[in-house]
Amino acid sequence: MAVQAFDLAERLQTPVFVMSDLDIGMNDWMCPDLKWDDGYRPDRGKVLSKEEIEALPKFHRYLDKDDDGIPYRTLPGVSPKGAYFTRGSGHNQYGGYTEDATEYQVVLDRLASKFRRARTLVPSPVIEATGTSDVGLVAIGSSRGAVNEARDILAKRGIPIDYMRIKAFPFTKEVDGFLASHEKIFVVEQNRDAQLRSLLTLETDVPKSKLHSILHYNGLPMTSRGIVEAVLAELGDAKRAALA
Amino acid sequence: MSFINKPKVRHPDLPTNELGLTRRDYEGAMSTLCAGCGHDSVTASIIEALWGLSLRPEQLVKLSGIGCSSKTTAYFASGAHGFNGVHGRMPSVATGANAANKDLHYIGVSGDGDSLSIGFGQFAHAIRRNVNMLYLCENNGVYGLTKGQFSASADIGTKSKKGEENLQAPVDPCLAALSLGGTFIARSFSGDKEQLVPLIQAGLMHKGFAMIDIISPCVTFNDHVGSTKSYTFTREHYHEAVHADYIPPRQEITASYAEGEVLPVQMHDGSRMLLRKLDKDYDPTHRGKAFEYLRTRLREGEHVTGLIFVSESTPDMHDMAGTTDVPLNQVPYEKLHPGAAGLAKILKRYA
Repeated sequence: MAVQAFDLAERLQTPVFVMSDLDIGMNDWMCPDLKWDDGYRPDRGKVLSKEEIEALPKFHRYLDKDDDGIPYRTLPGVSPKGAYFTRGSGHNQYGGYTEDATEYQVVLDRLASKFRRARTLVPSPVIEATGTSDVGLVAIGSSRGAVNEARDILAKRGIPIDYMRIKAFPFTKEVDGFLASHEKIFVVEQNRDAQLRSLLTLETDVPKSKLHSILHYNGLPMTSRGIVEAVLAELGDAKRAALA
Repeated sequence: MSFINKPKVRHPDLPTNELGLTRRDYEGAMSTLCAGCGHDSVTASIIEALWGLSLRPEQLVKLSGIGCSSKTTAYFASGAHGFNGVHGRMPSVATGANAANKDLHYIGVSGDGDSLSIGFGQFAHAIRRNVNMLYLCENNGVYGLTKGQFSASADIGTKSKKGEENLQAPVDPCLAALSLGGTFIARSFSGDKEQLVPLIQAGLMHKGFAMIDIISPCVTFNDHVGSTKSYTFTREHYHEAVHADYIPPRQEITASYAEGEVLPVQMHDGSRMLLRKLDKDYDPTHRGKAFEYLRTRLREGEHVTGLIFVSESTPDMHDMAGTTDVPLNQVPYEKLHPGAAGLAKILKRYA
């Protein structure tokens, strides 16, 4: 994750927040041996070399030359022609100081287009789908163990549930796809205020009525029991009767 | 405030340095600070110092936080990369940049607001790490950019422009740096170019964290009677204890000094500082004595300037971390990375 985060940060020239939780960070976990791909090379993003800088008539830091929302940058110590000032105040697309409203908005619009591009670059969700169920479950991170145990229990009771583990924000198009292809969606989160559910309603056009929150926020890691009971409660007596 | 940019012409007789560059090649954009601002004088001293050292502008990295002083990085060396970061956070940017490329020259411009309040934590740890950089604290006793509130360096009993009195004890950047293990600690005054330019040069060449507390009066908000950082007060009450001259590696010392009059200090790259004590009781190599001297003079209403303390033998951040001679950002990936075999070795430790 750290590797991916650094690559994205340099490709997109933007800070990337890696979110973990205390349970993962502080407790002992059993996991498969860590592996490293020797073929991997870091993506340093759009950095101009000395030759490239010298070939330019002039270097403009925030110019969207390739129309992908991402300008080129230069490193200190390479060429005086590549020098620029990262200013704390408003700047235009050429990297110069500005108080002009139009120029300022051009830069903000480019940043929006860059954020849209980020949707195609960040990790896609992990989806475990049976292809037959119209019930889905959305969660993030370390709740995976509890979720899969709950799905196992529910499947044995005749209630198969598809699972989408979202891995990044902004949401990739697979997130929209999963939400569209299920009728009832449980949003399972360790959050009193159901913020993941809110984010889904803000960022996608999923009808709110499809989403049902399962919230766990007593400070301890989630259990499968909590998920199973909440799912059974929501799916109603009809289903329960069928299981009896 | 100036409204007209200086025309880009160059007098044919303008002196050039070893690179064939004139002082104008070290200038930046036009300053938008108030007419008479101390910071603009400091900027002029920086330009003079850089020109005198014959540094390539692209070998310099300019860093700053937030405040009037932090704006000044745009006003010199436009051939150098500059990064104006968030309030009080310039030291971390400097540390990271320096970690990536130790061969560039780093100059951090900050103020009493940026360094001694919100930035106090970062300031302290950059000193402890002995990050190899020049750190300028352009000190005027107020938050100038936000119109004149007292900063943490304001002396007790001083009055704001509107007559409010400061009752809180001041932070003295030099005393703070002395207790934090600072290896090059100086104080100067924006109006004293003769003292300031060699200090800037020596500070840039010092291998470690070089701090200069520069009294830089705020003409708009703190230059009145009742201020201890006004032009008048500074000229009357700030006195030099040690004068430092910077001698580049290839230059010979031509002036003659009587024995015991100067203390030569050898620097890492072959250059030297000549310290001339104006007060024979002063010892710029003894941390505790320097601290006591400053406090004693303060009780008599005198503020000490000059090269207050210097140690050329303390390891800098890269020495402590044991990094390669080649800057980290130039070490090829193949050399940097231990690969799958290296990972397997690490995992074996936990088997």
